[in-house]
Amino acid sequence: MIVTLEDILSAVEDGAVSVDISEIKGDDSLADAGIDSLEIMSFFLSIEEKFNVKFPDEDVDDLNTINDIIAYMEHL
Amino acid sequence: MIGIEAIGCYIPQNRIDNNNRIAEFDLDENFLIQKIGMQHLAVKDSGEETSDLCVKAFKDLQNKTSIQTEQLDCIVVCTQNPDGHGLPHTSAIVHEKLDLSDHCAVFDISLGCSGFVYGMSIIQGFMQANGFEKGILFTADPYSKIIDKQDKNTSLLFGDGASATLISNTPKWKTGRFLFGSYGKSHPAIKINEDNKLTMNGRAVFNFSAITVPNNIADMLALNALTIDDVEYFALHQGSRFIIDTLRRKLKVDEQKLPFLATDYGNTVSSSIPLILGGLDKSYKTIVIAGFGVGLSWASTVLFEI
Repeated sequence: MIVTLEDILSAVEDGAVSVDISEIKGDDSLADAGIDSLEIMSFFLSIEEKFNVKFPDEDVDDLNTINDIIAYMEHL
Repeated sequence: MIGIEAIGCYIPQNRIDNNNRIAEFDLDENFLIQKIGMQHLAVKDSGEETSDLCVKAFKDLQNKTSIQTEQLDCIVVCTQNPDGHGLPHTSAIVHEKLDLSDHCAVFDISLGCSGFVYGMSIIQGFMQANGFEKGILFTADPYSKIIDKQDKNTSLLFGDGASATLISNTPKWKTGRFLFGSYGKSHPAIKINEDNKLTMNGRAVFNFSAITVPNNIADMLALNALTIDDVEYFALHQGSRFIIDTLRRKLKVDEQKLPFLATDYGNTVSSSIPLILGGLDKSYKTIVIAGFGVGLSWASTVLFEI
């Protein structure tokens, strides 16, 4: 599945994370951007629901940036 | 017609102060307050058994009503942390401690966070089938018995508490249609491990809560010919502040209607909903109750004020 940075950012529901994600760049660490360990679950759930995909627990820990997510989704 | 007449509550006085534990788990104060939500956890005395928590909730019920023990036709105890090893059933021990009549039927049900809602349907069905007029649904699931104090996923969440809900023929609330569900394939998400300690897959439980519970509530409301806007109050299982905030966002209701109320005592499992209902300081015509967790299991219904 081919998705863009904009696709990912627009998939995240309003209120799912407490930080402004509109300025996040592809290589920015999501943790450094202020998305904490609970909000990251909400972040991934938004993407899963939007694109009807699943990120297994064993893979999520390696997806630290939006570019990581985009690359992972290319193989879904 | 039978329904809820009154609810007795018991929250142990002892507290664990989570503010003193955040450094141990490399967390900051903002995360504790805004995300976990539980600043203090109620914890029972080491000598207190599950049946003792039930008895104390019953004493509170007696302070609120004129119920006499000899009037009780049945009691049901919802717990997965029973007295001893669970044999005999804890309800039999409560029966002894309250000196109930030989004619009083007693049994336990094994459910976690969905237990109060399931239990309401079970006890009312049992009472209606047998023409009973007075019964009590107890919830008491002291997770302090099984908490791994080193586990970041669970040890800041769960507190001890108990409730005693009087079901009678002079009710304050009647229940609407219930809607239940289970994901048995996800049962390892919350379980006791080989060391007899609680483990939880936080992400699995969060995803389940965020997806399944709003859908269940919407479907349950439709079953009762209601919409979200018809509901005056939501007493939902208090898993954590983050889960309650997420459900509020998904259901598109405000904080006054769907509050987080477990800051001072923690997630009390099947007692979380009745502790809210028992502490209400104003009346609401329609209240949604929804429990979800261990199993994974969920259930909801609506309470109508009479």
